[in-house]
Amino acid sequence: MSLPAKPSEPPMLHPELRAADDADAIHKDGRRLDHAEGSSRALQSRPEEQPRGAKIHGSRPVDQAEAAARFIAAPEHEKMHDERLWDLRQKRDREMHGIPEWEELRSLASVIKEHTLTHLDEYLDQFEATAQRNGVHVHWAQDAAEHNRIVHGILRDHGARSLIKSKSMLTEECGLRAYMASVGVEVIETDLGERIQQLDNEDPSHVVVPAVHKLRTDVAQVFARTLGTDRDNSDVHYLAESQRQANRPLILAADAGMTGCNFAIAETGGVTVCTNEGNADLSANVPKLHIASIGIEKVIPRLEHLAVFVRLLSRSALGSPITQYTSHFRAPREGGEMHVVLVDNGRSARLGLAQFWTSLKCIRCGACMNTCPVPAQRRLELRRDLFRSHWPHH
Amino acid sequence: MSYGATYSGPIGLIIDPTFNARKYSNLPFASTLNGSCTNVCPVKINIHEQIYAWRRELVKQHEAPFVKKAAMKMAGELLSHPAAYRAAIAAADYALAHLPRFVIYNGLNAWGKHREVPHPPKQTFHSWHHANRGERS
Repeated sequence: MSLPAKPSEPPMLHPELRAADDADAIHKDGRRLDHAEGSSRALQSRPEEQPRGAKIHGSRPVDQAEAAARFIAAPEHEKMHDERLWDLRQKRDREMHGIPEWEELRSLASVIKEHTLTHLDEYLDQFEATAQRNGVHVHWAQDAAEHNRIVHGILRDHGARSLIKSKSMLTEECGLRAYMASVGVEVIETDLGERIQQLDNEDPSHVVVPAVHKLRTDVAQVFARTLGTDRDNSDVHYLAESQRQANRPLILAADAGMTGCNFAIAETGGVTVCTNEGNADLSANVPKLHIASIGIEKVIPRLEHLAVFVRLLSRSALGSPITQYTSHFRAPREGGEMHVVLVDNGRSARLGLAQFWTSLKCIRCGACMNTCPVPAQRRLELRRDLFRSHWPHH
Repeated sequence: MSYGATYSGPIGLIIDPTFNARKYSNLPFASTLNGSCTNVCPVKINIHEQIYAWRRELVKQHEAPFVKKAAMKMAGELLSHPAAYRAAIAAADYALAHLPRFVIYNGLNAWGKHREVPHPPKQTFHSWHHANRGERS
């Protein structure tokens, strides 16, 4: 099958992923699947070892340039990382141009967030009241340590020894996994990327695509070490399926489940979680106990406001119209218990910073990371795009 | 991860310092302030302006490294004395044109690490103006 020539669109894929005879990666209409994992071809070369993140020495200033230099020194990784993020940015642009009211939505989203943040106490009180009316237990945590203690307390009360969870930047912020390890609770991440990072004992490198800096061969190494897969098989379907087979029994046997929260709705007391793997539903519904950790800035006033954010979130994040799953949790399942932990951890202090409080509007889509030319030393397309008028022609 | 912090990317640059201003004091300086992040932000956070504001804030809180502060002070002196500035530019242009590569491209010159230093122009705007319009100004 030959590919339709499209000179206007630059190639999105790593050349080693582009195989003209790979029928699996081609849509019915002749277009290729255009995500970087669309083909399951093995990389031709044997890439270098995965560079690790910045070295941490207590509170000494982090030297991100040193970490970046090591990443750039690994050309396979740098190239793949570059192209994956640029691919996300291009798809985001395509989605943005697909809806004429995009700028109106952005303005609405900004105004809703600013209004909520400037009336945060009222909306948090309202959320607490409606959630309690729905039969949800509401807890307040001033900082990361209190959050972890509260979660541990709930688990202890139920005699829970294992916890399945969906992806949450807040629990990363709180160091939940390390804390739970110290008190003897097993945590199992259910998001594939986050599980890869957990098995590799590494923090996520991106808020939406946590293992984006890893090549499939790196994942094969991690799974070979931790799940006993074939070290030399880096086929993405094989890797994903192996992980699923290993993880599913742990999910089914878990004592408790945890989710993060994308939006907490004051009017309804509902918690909305957006995923592409349905893993929030597994985490919330398989065990009888569901705990949702919520940063206090996640609250929005009304259900109708959710529509604005749901339309923006995945378009900005992955360049898809909507996440595969948008899950709404409003009350405990029958015979179960639902807890929410509202976490401050520096947010109210940030709200008091005249120059920086609007950073609390962030919905963690990662669009800024995908467009940034700084981590990508060679992302030429983007630099041309940004500095078109100044770009010298060679 | 490259930042050694929970949040990476541009949003990380402006959130991470609120957790630990000293530990993440270098981050807001790792930006070209091109504003692409602000352009794509779905909730219109003025990210690049906040990155710049953090630089001012961190310098105020004495969280800038000594070398950076000393360099900025020297640059400030130079830029506030036009004669000294012009002499420095002329000297730098001459140096770029005549010094051997190893003197220009070494560990001390961060600019030359992944790129060529631009060629010095044959004439600066100031010298052109002086030659062509000097008598009228």
